[in-house]
Amino acid sequence: MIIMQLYRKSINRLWLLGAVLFVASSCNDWLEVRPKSEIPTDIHFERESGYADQLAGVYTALYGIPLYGCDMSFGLMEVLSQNYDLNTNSVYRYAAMYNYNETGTKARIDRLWTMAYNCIANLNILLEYVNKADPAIFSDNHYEQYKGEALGLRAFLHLDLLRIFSPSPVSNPNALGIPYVTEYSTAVTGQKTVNETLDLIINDLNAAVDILKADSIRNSNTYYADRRERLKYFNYYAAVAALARAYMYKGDKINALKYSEEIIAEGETFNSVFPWTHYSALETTYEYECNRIFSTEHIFSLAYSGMDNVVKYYFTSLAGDNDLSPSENKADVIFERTAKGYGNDYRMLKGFAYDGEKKYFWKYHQYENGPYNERLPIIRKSESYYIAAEILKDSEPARAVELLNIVRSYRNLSAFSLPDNLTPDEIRQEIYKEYRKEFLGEGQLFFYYKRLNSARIEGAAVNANDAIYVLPIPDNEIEFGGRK
Amino acid sequence: MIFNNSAFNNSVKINMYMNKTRMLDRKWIAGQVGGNGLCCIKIKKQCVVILAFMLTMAVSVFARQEGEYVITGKITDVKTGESLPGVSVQIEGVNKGTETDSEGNYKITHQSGKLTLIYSLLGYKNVYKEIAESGIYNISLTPQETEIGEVIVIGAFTRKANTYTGAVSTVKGEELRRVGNQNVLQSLKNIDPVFLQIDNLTAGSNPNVLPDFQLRGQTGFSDLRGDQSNPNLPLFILDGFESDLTKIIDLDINLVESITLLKDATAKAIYGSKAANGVVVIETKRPAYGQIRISYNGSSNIEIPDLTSYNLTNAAEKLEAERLGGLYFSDNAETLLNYQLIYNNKLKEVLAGVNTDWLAQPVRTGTGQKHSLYLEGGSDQLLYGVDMSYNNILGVMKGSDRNTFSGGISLTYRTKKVLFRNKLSVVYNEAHDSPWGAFENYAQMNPYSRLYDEQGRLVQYYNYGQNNATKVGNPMWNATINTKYLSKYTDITNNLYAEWSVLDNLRFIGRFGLTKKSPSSDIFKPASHTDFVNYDIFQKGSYYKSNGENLNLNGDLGVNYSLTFGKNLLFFNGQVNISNITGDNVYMEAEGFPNDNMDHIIFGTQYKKDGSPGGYETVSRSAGGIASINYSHNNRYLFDANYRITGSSEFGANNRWGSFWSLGAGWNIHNESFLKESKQINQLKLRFSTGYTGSQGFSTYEALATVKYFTNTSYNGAIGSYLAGLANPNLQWQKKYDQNVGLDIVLFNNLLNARFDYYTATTEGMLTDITTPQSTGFTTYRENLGEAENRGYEAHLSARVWESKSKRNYIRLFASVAQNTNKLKKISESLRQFNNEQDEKLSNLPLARYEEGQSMNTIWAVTSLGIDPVNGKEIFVKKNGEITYEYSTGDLVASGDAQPKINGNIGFNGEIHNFGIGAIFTYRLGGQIYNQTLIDKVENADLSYNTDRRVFTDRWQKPGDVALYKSITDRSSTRPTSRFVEDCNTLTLASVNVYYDFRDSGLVKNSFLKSLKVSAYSNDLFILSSVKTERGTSYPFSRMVSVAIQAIF
Repeated sequence: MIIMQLYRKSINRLWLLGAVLFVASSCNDWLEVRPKSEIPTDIHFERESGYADQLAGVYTALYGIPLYGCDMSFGLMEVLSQNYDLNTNSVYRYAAMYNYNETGTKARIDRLWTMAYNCIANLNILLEYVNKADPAIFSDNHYEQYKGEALGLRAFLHLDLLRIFSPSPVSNPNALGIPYVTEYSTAVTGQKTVNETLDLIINDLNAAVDILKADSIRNSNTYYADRRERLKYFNYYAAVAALARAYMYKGDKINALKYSEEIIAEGETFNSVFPWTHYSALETTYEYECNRIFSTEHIFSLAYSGMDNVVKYYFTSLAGDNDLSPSENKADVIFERTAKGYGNDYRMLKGFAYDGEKKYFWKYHQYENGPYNERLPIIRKSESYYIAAEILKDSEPARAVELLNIVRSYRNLSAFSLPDNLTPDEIRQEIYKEYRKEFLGEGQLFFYYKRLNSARIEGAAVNANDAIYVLPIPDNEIEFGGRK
Repeated sequence: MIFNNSAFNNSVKINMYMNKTRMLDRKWIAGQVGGNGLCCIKIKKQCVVILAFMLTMAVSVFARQEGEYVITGKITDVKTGESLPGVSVQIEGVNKGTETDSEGNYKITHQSGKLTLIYSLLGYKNVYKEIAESGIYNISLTPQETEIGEVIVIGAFTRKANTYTGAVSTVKGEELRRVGNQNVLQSLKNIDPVFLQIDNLTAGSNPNVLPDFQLRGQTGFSDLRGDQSNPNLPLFILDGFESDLTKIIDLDINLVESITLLKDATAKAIYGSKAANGVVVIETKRPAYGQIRISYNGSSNIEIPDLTSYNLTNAAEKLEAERLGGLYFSDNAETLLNYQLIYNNKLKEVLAGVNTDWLAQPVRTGTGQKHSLYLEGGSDQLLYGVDMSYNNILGVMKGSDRNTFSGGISLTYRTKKVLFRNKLSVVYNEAHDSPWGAFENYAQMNPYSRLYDEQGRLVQYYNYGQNNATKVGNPMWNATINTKYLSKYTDITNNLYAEWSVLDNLRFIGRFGLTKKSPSSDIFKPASHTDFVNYDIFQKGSYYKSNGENLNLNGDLGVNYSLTFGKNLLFFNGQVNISNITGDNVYMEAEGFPNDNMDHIIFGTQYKKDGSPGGYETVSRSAGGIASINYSHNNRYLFDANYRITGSSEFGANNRWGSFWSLGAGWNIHNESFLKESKQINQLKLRFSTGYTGSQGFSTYEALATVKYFTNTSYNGAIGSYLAGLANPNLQWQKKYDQNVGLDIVLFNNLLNARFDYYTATTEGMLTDITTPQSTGFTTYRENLGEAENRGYEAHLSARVWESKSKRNYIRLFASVAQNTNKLKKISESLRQFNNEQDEKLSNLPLARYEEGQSMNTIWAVTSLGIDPVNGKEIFVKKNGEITYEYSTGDLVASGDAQPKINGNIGFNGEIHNFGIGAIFTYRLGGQIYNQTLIDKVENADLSYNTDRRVFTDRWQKPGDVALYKSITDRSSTRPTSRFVEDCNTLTLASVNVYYDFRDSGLVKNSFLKSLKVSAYSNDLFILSSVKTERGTSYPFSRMVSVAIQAIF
C-alpha cells in the first residue's frame, strides 16, 4: 500500500530520478581530487608546459651527483679508467681497486642504477602522455622536439646503463642485458640479451633521429631563436652521435661510420652549430676567459647549475683526500709531454693548474663570472672523428690519420701532425691515446676499453675482464626483479 | 508589532503540552492537536510563532497569580505502591506546571475554577484529572505495557536495543561524569577496558599530548618509516559526524548525553571504509522541554606531580657511584691528578651540604578550574539549548597549560511532520607547552650541582674540571627567559538536521555538517637561549609560526521505514552521503630577535637562513550509501543486515568504489514461552555477527601518479618536475573481517547484568611497502599485503548487591575483563628487509620487528642467562642453544609482548541518603615491558649524569658478586637482552569519587534551586606495578583531585 503510494509519487517525479542518476555518474569525476602540492599526471600533461617541465626535471636529475653530475662522468666512471692518482683515503679508493662489493662503492653503484632508472620512469610517463596527446596543444615544433628528446634520451640512458652493467657485445653478446624499461608501472620488465637490448636502443634512437628531423637545431638562426640553445637538450645531432656510438658498441661499423660521417660533415660546414673551438678562446689574456672545456664542440652538454659547489670539492685544494687528478707524472705520460713533446697540447696546457702547493686537473674549474661555467659535456663532436678513424683505419688509413689530425690541429698540435703512413695498429694506438687525452675526466675511456674487451687497463693492477667491466646490479634488483 | 492572533493561541496551546512523555509519543500529540482543531501550522508562520513563544515565556515569568487555590497530592506506582519522584504535573490549557519531589509529593496553585491536570512520567501512561476545588488528589500511575525500551545510537540512525544484534556498549553521560570530570575519553577508558589507552611512559600527563587509543587490538603497523601515525585509532563520531581526537578531548564532559562503542561488524558496517578500528559514537545533550532551566557545573582541579617512580641517588651516593664506576681512575698520572681535582671539587660541594632536588624544580601543583553553564527549555515546537564553558587545565610542569573556551546554541523546531534541529558550536583552545623543556633534562642533573651560586644568581654552566670538556649546562636557564611554546585552534561546527515524517512509519532525514578548524602554533626562543650561543648577532633568537585551515563538509540524506505485519517487525534505513575534507597548513621561521620581549614574528630581522616555507595541503572526498535492515520475529528471532558502498578519492583509480557488508543474528531466549514467565531471567540474548569493514590510513595521493616540482634547482632557466613516487592504481583500503559471538544476560529482577563477547578480527590486505626492483625507477610502492589477526573476549558484569525499597539507596558492584591476542599472519618482503635494517641499528632498546606468527607488539631480545659472577659479563643463549658472551642480532627471539594479556576494571558505586561514593580500579595482567629505566639509568648508566639508586646496589663490583646488572666499570652499551624484559602487571586506583546531593535539604526545597550536588573526584591516586620503571620521562604523571559543584536553577 505504502509502496504503491510511493511509486505513484515517484512517477510524478521522474526528473528526480534523473537527477539522482546524473549525480551518481558525475560522482567519479568528483572523487578525482586535484592536490596543490602534487599534480596528478593527467592534469600535468594537459598543457605543453607540463612536458617542458617534465623534461627539465629529467635534465635536472641528470646532472645530479649519482649520474652525470659526478659518478657517470668525472667520478666513478673515470676512476675505473685509472686516469687519476687517488689519495689512499679517497672515497673512490675501493672503486679504483674494482672492489665493487665494498659498502660505500656498492651504495654508489646502486644509487647510479636507481637514479638512472628513475629518470627513465620520468621519461616513460612523458612518452605515455605524448603518444596520446593532441599535437595541436603544442606550439611550433615542440611536439616533435619533446617526443624525440624523450625517446632519444631514454635510449641514451639505457645505452650507458648497458655499457656499465652488462658485458660488452665483444665479450658476450648473448648474456642477459639490463632491462629495457618502456613503461611507468609496478610491473617488472624482463631482460633480453645484450645484442637484443642494443637493438632496442638503436631502434629508439633511430626513431628519435627521425622525429627530431623537425628539431630547430637544423634551421638557421633567427633573430629571436638561437639554435645553439638546443645543444643543452638531447637534440637531433645528439641522437645521431648517440646512434654512431651505439652502432660502434655493437660492432656495426657500416652504420657507425654513416652516422659519424653525418656529424663530421655538419661539424665542418661554415656556420656549423658545433664548430671547433677557436684558438683565440684558449689563448686568452685572463684565465677565467679560457674555454678549456671546448664548449662549442659539445653536441650535447648539460647546463649544470651549481657546478662549482660540486667540482671544487674534487678539483681544488678543497678536495683534500678526495682530489681527482692525475699526478704530474701521469699527466706527462697521458699527454706524451716528455715522450713526444706534446706539452703544448691545450688539453694539457690549459687543463691543469696549481691551487696552493699542488697541481690540479683544471678542466672543470669554475671561475667566478667565467663565460664557460656550468657546461658539462655529454657528447663531443671529436668522438665521431675517432669512431670514423677507427672504422677506416684498415680500409682508408690516410683518411683515418687525417681525421685524427683535424682534431689534433684544434688542440694546438698542428706542428705535430701524424704521418699518413701509419699502420692500422699504430692508428689504433693513436686513437686510444686521443680517447685518453680528449675525454680525460669525462668517463668515456673505461667504455673504450670495455668495447674492445681490452685485457689491459692502463694503470690497473690486475688484468681486465668482465669481473671488472661488468658492475654488479643492485641486490634488490636481483632479488625482486628475478635478474640473472 | 503585528502578529497573527490565532498563531499566538496555537503556540499557547502547544506550549501546554510541554512534557516529555507526550513528545515521545508523537501519535498522541498529532491526535490531540488535530482533535482541538489546530491544523498543522504552516512553516511560513514560523517566525511569528517564535516571537509568540518568546512573548509567552515572558508573560509566564512575570505574571502574578491572584485568589489562588491549592492542589496537593502524592503520586505512586500502581503496582508496587512506591512513590514516584519527578512526575510532571501540568495544568491543561495554561503554560503552568510542576514536578513531584523525591517523595512523590506535589503542590500546585491555580486561580480559575475548573481545570484538568495532566500527570505524566516517562514509562507510565498519562493520567488526566478534572479538578474543581482545592484538595488532596493522590494518583497512581500505570506503567506502559509496551516497553519504550532503550535505543542504541549508532550515529546515522538509532536501533531498538532489544532487537539489535550488534556488539555495542553504551555509557550514559551520568556514568561518565561519575567516574571523572577531566575529559570524556579519560572516563570512558576507566569504564570499558576494551577501549584501551596505550601507555605513554614518555609524555606522562602532559595535557597537550594526545593519548593513543585502541579498540580490540592493533590492526595496522604503527609508524614504520614515519609516514603514518597511530593507525589503530578508532573513528570518532560526534553528533553524527566524523570528528578528530582533539575535539573529543576538549569536549565539555557536561554536554555528553551518551557514548556508544561500536565493536563488531554489525555495529560498524555502516561506517564502511573507516570503521575497521571500531567506532566511538558520542551524542551530546539535546535541550529538554519546559521553562528555562539553567545548569551550572564548576570544578577546581588540582594536579599533583607523581614522582614516586623515580629512585635517584642523592649527592653523596652519586659521587660514590662515580668513584666506583672508575670515573676518577686513570693509568696516566697527570690525568689521574686532574680527575682527583674534579672529584675533590665535587666532594667539596657534597660536604658543603649541596643536595639539589632537581626533580622538584620544573614541577608544580597545578590548580585548574572548569566552569560550564547550560541553558535549556522551550515548547514542543521550539526548543533551545545554550552552552558555555571554560576549561583551564594547569599541568604539573611549570608553564604548561591548556585552556578551552567553548559555546554553542542548539535549536529544535518541530511541527507535526517536520523537524529541524541546528547546533552551532564554537571552540577556542590555547595551549602552552612548558618553557622548562623536557623533564628528563632535570632527572639527569647531578644532585651535587647547586642551583644558585654564592651571589644567589642562577648557575648557567657547571664545570668541575679545568677544561671545557666537562662543562654541563643548567636546563633551568632557558626557562627563565621568555621562551614560548604556544598552540591554538578555533573550531566552528554547525550541524543541521531535518526530518520529514511522511507517514507514521516513514521518515526522510537530511543532515548537513560543516566544521572549520584553524590551528596555529608559535615557538619563540629569545636571543639569550642557549641554542644560539655560537650564532651571529642577527641570527640570535628564532620564531617558528604555523597556520592551518581545515574544512570538513558532510551531507547526507536518509530514509527510515518500519513495518509491522503480524508478529514481524521490520526496520529499514537507507542513506546516501557525501563528504569533502580539505586541509591546508603553512609554516615559516624567522630569526634575529634582539630583545626577549619582542615575542612576535614581525620583529624578526630576517627569515631563517637557508630556510624555506613549508606545509601541506590535502583534499579528500568520499561519497557513498548505506542500506540497513533490522528484522525481528515475535521479538524472539532477530536479524540484521547492513551494506555500505563508499567511493573515496583516496583509493586507487582502479578501485574507486568499495563495498562492505555485515550480517547479524540474535535470539531473545527470554522471550521464548519457556522463559517468558520466569522471574529470575529477565533477559537472555544470544548474538552473532560477521562482516567486513575497512580502514584507510594511507596518504591521499599514493594511488595516483603525481608530479612534484624541484624546489632548489633548475635546468637552463626552467624548474623541472618529477614523479613523486610509484603510484599503485590498484591500492585499496585494508579490510577487516570481524566475527563476534555475544551473550547478554539480565537476572533476578534486573539486579544482575552481564555481557560476554568473543571475537576474531582478521585484517586483510594490510598496507605495507613493497620493495620493487629499482628498474621501475623507484625502490618501493604501497600495496595491500599482509594479514593480522586479533582474537579475544570481553566480559562485563554488574550487580546491584543491595538496594532500598525506593531504589534510592543502593550499592552496585561491577567488573570487566578484556583479553586480546594479536598475531601477524602474512608479511611482505619489504618488512623482512625492514627487520634486517632494524637489526643493523645499534640500539640499546628493542626495535620493532615483524615476523609471521608473532604479535605486532613483540619485544625482540636475545635470551640472557644473567651476569657471570666471575667476571661481570652477560651470558647469552644463542638460537641453537649454545652459550656465549658474544651478542648477535641473529639470536634475537620473541621475548615478550608489550600489550597486556588481559586488562579490565573492578569497582563499585552506591548512594545512601543522598551521599554517594564510587571507586574504580583498573588492572593489566600479562604482557611485558622492556625496562628502559634499568637500561638507561642502571645498566648503561652514563655516570656523568644522575642515575637510579640500583646502579649502586645491583651492579656487579667484584668476582663472586651475584648481581643483576653488569660490572659497574663496564661502559659498553648493553643491547636488547631478555634480562630487561619484565612482566608488567599493574593495579591502578583510576577513579574515586564521593558526592552529596542536596535534593532533600531545605537548601533546594525552599529556594530557586532545582538541584544541587557537590562532588569530589580523584584520578590515578596510586599505581601498583610489578615493574620499577620511571614513568613520565619527558613529562611527569600526575594525580588529580577535583572538587566540583553542580547546580540547576
